[in-house]
Amino acid sequence: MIIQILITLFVLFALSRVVIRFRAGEMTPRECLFWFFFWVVVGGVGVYPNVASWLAIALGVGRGADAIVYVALLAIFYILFRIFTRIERIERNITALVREIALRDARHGHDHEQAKK
Amino acid sequence: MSDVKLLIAIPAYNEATRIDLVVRECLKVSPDVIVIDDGSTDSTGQYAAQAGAHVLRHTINRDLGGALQTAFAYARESDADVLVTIDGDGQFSPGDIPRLIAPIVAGDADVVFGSRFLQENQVPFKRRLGNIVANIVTWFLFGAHVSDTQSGFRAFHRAAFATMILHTNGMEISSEIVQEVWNRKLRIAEVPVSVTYDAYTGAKGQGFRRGLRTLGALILRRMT
Repeated sequence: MIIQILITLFVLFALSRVVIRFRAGEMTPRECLFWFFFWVVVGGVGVYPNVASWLAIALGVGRGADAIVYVALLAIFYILFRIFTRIERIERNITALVREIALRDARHGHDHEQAKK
Repeated sequence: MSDVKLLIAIPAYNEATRIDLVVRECLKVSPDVIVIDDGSTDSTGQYAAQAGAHVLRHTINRDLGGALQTAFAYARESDADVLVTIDGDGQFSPGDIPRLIAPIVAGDADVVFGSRFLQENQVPFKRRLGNIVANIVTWFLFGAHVSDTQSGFRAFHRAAFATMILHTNGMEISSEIVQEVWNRKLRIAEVPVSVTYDAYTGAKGQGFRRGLRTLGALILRRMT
């Protein structure tokens, strides 16, 4: 089926991006492993849609496709939440850095004034 | 009051047209006035320094919360007994500062909120509505209530500013301050203060979109 070929090609592309980013040092080994596993699972479900049907039966959802949509939605919300919290942490770190520079400059200015006196 | 060491902190972003006057008025109340120039692209820092303030410069804009965090950090390193924060746009009157810090000086409070709504003030409807929403959100998310959560005019005793830990960068710092004060069981007082809204100060502060962003940040803070 064409859809299976397309999914496989996309998963191969995503896996190559994971490897490239890991090699460039932009990912920790743990992150690399997580995303590698994630795309392998996506590829597996794409190539063997029956897996989704088993999942649907296990979850008590009618069809395999529905199970995929539910799981994907949950995953997307979780990833969004993680991204939000990470951005927030980065913002706070930047503020801490800017504050430290401002305070250090202020201390230096004070030292200069004392030296002039 | 003369034996109380008072530090006045003015967070300012692009306030070149007003900062000079605000600093001069504050210097009449205390010799220790700092301006946190929050990455202004105009001459705010230069004018503040010329007016006699000690200027702390943020290399990039970190918003109101970032500027207030710097004010708190500076106050902790100083020998100040009381820290007053006041907006740099001139909407509040530095002449109200002695009245604002009076409950702290008297030993009756650790934190004083200057409230625009406890006396007759010409506050635009948009601001009144915004404050009501902010008060409800602060109460709902953090269980804390004061009449003017969004007021930028506050006073803190060393017992407060030495222990309070603030994290947020934006306008949500106002609600975070209320939450911190509430959680740490610090003694609160509210003092009516005068406020002047003109075309300049009216354009500052939170609009609807900014308000929504602040709300989102507060919810995120509650969740994390």
